[in-house]
Amino acid sequence: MAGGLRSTTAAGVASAALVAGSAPAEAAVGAPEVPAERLELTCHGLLKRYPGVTALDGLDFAARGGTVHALLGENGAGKSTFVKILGGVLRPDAGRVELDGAELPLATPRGQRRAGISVAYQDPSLPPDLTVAEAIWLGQLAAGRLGGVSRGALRTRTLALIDRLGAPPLSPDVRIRSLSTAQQAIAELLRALASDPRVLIMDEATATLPPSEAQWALGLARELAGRGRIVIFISHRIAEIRQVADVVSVLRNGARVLERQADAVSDDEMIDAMLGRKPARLYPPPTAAPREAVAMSVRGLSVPNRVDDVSFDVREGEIVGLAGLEGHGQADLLLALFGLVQSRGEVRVGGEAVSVRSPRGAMADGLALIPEDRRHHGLLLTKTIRENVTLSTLSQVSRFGFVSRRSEIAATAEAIRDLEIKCRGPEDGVTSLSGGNQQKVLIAKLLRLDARVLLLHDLTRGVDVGTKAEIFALIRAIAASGRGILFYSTDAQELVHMCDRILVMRRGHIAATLTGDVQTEAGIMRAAFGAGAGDE
Amino acid sequence: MSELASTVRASGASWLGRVRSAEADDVVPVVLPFVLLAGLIVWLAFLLPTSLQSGQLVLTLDQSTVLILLAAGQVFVLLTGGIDLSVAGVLAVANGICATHMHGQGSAISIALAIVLLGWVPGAINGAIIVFSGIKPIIVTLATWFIWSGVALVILPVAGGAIPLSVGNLWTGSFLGLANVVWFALILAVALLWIGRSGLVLRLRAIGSHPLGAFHSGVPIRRNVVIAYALASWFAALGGLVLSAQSLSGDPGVGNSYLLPSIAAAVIGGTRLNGGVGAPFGALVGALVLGYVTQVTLATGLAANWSLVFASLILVLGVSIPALVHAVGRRLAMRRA
Repeated sequence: MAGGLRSTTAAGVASAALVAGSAPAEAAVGAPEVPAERLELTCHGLLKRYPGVTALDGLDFAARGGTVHALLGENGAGKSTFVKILGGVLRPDAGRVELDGAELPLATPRGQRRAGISVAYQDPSLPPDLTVAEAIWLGQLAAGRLGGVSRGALRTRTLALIDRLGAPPLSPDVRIRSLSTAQQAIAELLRALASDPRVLIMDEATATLPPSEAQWALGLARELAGRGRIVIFISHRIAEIRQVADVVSVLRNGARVLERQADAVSDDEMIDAMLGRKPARLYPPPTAAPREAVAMSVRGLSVPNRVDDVSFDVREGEIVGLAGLEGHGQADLLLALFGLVQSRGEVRVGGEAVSVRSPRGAMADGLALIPEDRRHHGLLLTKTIRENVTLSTLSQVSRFGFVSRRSEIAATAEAIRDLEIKCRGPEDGVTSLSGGNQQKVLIAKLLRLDARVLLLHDLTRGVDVGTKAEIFALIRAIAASGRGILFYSTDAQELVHMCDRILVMRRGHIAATLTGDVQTEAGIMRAAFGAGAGDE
Repeated sequence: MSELASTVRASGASWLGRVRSAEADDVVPVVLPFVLLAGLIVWLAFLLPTSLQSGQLVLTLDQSTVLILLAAGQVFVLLTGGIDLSVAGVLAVANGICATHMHGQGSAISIALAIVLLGWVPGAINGAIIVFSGIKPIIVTLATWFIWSGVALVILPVAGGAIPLSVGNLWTGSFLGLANVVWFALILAVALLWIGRSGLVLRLRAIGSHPLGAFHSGVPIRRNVVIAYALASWFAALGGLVLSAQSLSGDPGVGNSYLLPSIAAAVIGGTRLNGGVGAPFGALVGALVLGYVTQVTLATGLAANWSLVFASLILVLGVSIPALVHAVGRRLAMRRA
């Protein structure tokens, strides 16, 4: 990997990108006008706390006009919070932001846009029921007055905008909901650019774009910088950062830990800055080696636009990790295996082909899923521990079709004891439990299914450290009992310490399988970023 | 990945792209109410040829006007993903005030003016409570519905009251050879068409479709939601005024029989109950559809109460046909992919 990527001068690549893309109609691209007075965006001591978490810890940040400033950081480093504050979506608890010497209101997206700051968000934020033209100009139509909106005028303006920016063709009359993810990302960029902002924030705006469209977006960033504007560029693709960025800043735990000229920082320095050093005492050692028998084998599994021809095995007693940046198909893979998302391909559990069409069928075939959002998809929040634990296996505690309260309570008490769920008793409401104990209730529910393969989706999100360690021990014990475990987590460290093998997904493919010495956080990062291998 | 790239290109601004963009999902809900209305009018004409005479048409319009007003107002709220039950109470209060306070020409004019000028206030209160408390619209407007119904009973405890005939004559009269009812309907239709294309309705649709997205795009959510409820109540108050001119009396319980039809008319007119899709003008068509359902029922010789059954069938049809078309379309798209 070392030196796999040369640092190219940003300007050189940018002009190449512009030539490759369709030529913008306006002359703005030609010779970059460097304004006499340079624009400057400065942030002082931005602080944002949530209960139990400090998202931004007195962040100082500065970006100059005429530059593309890349911002990197792990999931949870504070990037999103920072972007939302700049976008006027969140108010900081303390700190201020100045643009061109004037303090910004930081109150509403509208106010920020008027001040010249515009954000292209990572999650599509365009209302799905509007047409492309309506969604792009939505925020800019006169607010106070009723003002008739001529559909024709909106169309013309949209086509002119697409033409001016040399954007990939997009019909102004299509509803947002019928666009592909990539097209939505393009529309989102167009919306952000419609107000001709002085500061453009691209929050992983290229994450869902195919290569040629991503090149267009990168060219756009360079073009804006060439006109003296500020572009704050957030991406998980190191190659892209190498291509456009003049300056690189790395955030960790809500503070800036690195700021350097892009050509003066190596890939490894960036990755090290992102990861920092973390304690690794949470993780119990493996108790038994995986067995030879295959618990689940997956062949050629595809979900349109999400997962592309994925094949792998999970052996009995094996913990297989699933890693990658968010949105690269890991979540969809789990959902597909559990029958929540339509897919093609072959899945065998214990040697028998199963059809993954519905969660009910998947459970009958020996698969069990702990969903990402336990509050909405996993637990019945208004119910007790007992009701949640026995929900999927009522027949086990029923006689003649009637649920036996006594066997339910016995079963629940057993689960509470075995899993060390901290509560007063089976009749406690699940909302009274901490996040970690709620997760244990879910695990108890799944264990009763006697599944051969457990699919775990971000099991420890929002779980405190102590309970985390207990849950990890539990996972080890489940694996030792001979069940196969497919473990998806956004926390790379967790995967490194818990898994026998890690599959790193990138753009719907398994980009790398890591074991032994290369099973490290940096290894995951490299494979997930596509660093070293170049960007396809 | 090339698949993604090609979809981006395929939806280009070419002629083919535009045709493809006019998807069934968009077109069906807009066209369906007109088809229903036309079908009912033709059916009634077969059963009862006199129904096409101008007098009969004016009568149908007359009977539908109050519902049109209520349904059109309801659309603004439905677009945001809310619902307004209190319009029934506001209608009754406006009707009660007319019945008790319109004694002559002078007082009739001042009462009418007051209703037109202040009719939005109850809705603004609804909107403010919803926006600042975060309580669900159905609960807030249920409460204010009861409050306004109570107020209506205080104003006019039993049905009755006398509204000067001159007010009624204003409604039944004509101008330049065209019945005033028709003038009113025409002005209303133009106004609804215009407001349907306004930035306001665009913002309400955006809010109902994806509130956070609308906010990110710079739409002031609270202000626009309050405006939506204010409009719903204003249209209801106007409905109370029209109802008074039609009936020349007051009835404190009159609102309740309009409440569910107002929602039904909006939905038949292409407005989606969870917000984001719809147009005020559609409510006009939806209300006429309900009006004609009653007439067709009567013309077939069935008891009037059957019209309720048919109205609900139409409602189910109005909701399920677009959903069905959507499902079939998706199935086909899946097969193609």
